[in-house]
Amino acid sequence: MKKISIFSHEIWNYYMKNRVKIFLLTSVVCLTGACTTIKPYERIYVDDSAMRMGASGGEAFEYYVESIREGGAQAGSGKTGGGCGCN
Amino acid sequence: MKMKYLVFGSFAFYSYFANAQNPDSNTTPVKINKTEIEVLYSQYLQDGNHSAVTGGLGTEKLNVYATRVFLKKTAGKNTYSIRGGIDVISSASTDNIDSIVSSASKLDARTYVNLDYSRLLKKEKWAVSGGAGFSIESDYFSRMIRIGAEYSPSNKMRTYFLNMQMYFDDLRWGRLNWEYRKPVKLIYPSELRDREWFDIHRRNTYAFNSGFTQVVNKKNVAGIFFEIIFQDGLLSTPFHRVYFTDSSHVVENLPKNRLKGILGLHWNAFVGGRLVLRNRINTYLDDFGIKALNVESESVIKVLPQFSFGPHFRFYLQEGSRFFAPHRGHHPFENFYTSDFDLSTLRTFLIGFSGRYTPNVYMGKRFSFNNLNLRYSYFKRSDQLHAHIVSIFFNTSFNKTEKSTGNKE
Repeated sequence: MKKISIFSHEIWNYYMKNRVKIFLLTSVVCLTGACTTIKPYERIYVDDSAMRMGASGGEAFEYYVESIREGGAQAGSGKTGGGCGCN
Repeated sequence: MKMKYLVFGSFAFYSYFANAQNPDSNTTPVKINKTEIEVLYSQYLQDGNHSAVTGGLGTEKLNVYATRVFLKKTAGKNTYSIRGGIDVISSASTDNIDSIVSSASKLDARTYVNLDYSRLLKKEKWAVSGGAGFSIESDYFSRMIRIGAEYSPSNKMRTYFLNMQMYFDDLRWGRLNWEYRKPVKLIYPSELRDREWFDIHRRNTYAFNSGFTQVVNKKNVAGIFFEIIFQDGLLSTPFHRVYFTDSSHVVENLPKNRLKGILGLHWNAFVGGRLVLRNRINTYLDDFGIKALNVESESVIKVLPQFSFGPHFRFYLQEGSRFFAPHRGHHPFENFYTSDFDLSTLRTFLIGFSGRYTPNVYMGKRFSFNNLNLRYSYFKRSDQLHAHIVSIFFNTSFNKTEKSTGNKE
């Protein structure tokens, strides 16, 4: 079977060794001093439709396809069961 | 005399504007009554040469034509929605379930409907929601129920959410067959129908997801998502073949339980005034031995207030399941085996381009055209499977504002 490249293995190994640290660090940065309270009239950028967290129509269909063609799934993608996906 | 007119005139002037604050006019709360309609059409064209139906070797040619309609009605604090769609599937691999390997593709369809209700509670800080739905294919019937809750403090800087989704699936064929019109049996490869390979036909999925989104500052929003999924029942696909090293072949066999965990970090950022970067990192782990990491980013360049476009890419790395081996890679003494390359060690790469037109213009008094979105992506997997995905999506709404009567809904 074809093996994945050395470059990908390096990323993968680094990530697997440090995955807990990566997520903890990111969470702490977000939850502490990095966040500032903004006024309602300052929400022009964060309320922009492109800043929404959810997937738009086309993206949602891509997540559905990826959840079938890959062994994993995305958090919050909403496709965790239902439907065969066996074609 | 002139001073008298000036004082009287000023009094009259202020009185006029004081009347403008009459509670019957501006300060009366309005009840939002809005109906949104979204239509999505997607086309998926795939080709590859590792079909699980033919034991990890054979055509994976597949075309999917998917149409989805979404209706959402917001009436005050209540929101009702219905999502329905049909995916027409033309698959060369499922055509090979029978022994006649033909070039003609088998046609199937997946039809689904989901209903959802949500309500804002307690000064609009809490929202609770629930939903139910189903999807049906020739060899599959799935029922879904969902409950959820969301909390946003008054300053709207952070939103917490919790969701529980349950799927109850039946893998028997026959419901859409005019002769039977009821679930009859599991479909095995035609040459392996001399025995029953499984004594169960149901698959249950319990998914719990939670997380929060945080406004980091004026131009950054982040979200952390966590999901645990437990599945039990028939997790094998009954028409997938597996060829052993001694050339004998059987039906795929996977464990009857599977536990999955997913952690995701999303970060959307405005860079300057015209560029939005949408970034996601997801990490995945399950007890089949699959470990995965995906990184994706989308750029949205706002050339005009109504027009934006931009590229997107996604990179996915997967360490495969211990139950996977390619064609003739399994030994006959193994307990669990599959040659489904979706569960193999792989990399996938997706690259594409999207354009959005968001006029948000009213056509007439109430009808508003909000959004038109065109998206193309090319998907490539390290085992040479590749696909083109095209989607067109539009969103319109009917808006009506009413003065609130003060009655509780």
